[in-house]
Amino acid sequence: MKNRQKEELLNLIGTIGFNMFDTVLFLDTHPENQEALAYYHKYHELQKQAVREYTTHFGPLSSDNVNDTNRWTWVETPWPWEMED
Amino acid sequence: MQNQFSGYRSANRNLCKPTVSLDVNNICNTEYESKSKHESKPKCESEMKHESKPKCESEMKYESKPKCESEMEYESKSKYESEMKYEGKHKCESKPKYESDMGYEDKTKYACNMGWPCNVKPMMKEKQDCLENMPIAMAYVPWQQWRDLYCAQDGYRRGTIFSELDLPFLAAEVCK
Repeated sequence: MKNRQKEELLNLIGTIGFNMFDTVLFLDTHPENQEALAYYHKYHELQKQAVREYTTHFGPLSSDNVNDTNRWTWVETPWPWEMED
Repeated sequence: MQNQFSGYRSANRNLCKPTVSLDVNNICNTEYESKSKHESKPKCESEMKHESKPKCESEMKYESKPKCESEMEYESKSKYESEMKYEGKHKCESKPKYESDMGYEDKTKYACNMGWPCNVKPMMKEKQDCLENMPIAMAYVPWQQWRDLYCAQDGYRRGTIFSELDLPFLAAEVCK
């Protein structure tokens, strides 16, 4: 159950990230497009929420997400190649 | 000019919208006009033989024989033209089909509607003639609009959030 939630959340983060990235490419050539800007910020906010949720339940996604000030938690969670089935 | 590569950022800023934009209608019309070339094309060998032959039993066999290649091409073009009249030439606003859903004919129509000169057999001379009135050494890319977005999941699955950029991969036809 936990693994499924983890997978879903990871998929969501990937989806959001991709949508942001494609919007970034559009904004590179259309820097004043308000619709694209609004879309980007909406997904940026969603990404922050999703990453925060993932970090809280499953540990940091990247070393930037290490929030614990008392210990370095980055190495405590499995590496991608150590992911459980 | 829409370019998906950030490396071209600075270059893109200096580029204005193309002074001569692609006119889909013009391209398609030129394409239709090229049909007349087919009409005046010399008949294929099998056709010549067929005509010069006296009417006899063997003629019957000829009638049931498959048509020569040029003839078939012409027929499919005529069919295409009549279909376009009914369906309308502007399809830019309609959602493109997924490549996997598109048949060979669909791909051809789609390519023409998108203003691509190269569709069925891009290396053929008559296809290249679509651009004969355009200045050489110039490239034209229609300006991308923020529209027809896929939903987030579909965009992730298709590899683009812009349904307009979800185009059929025609390189396979080019290599044939």
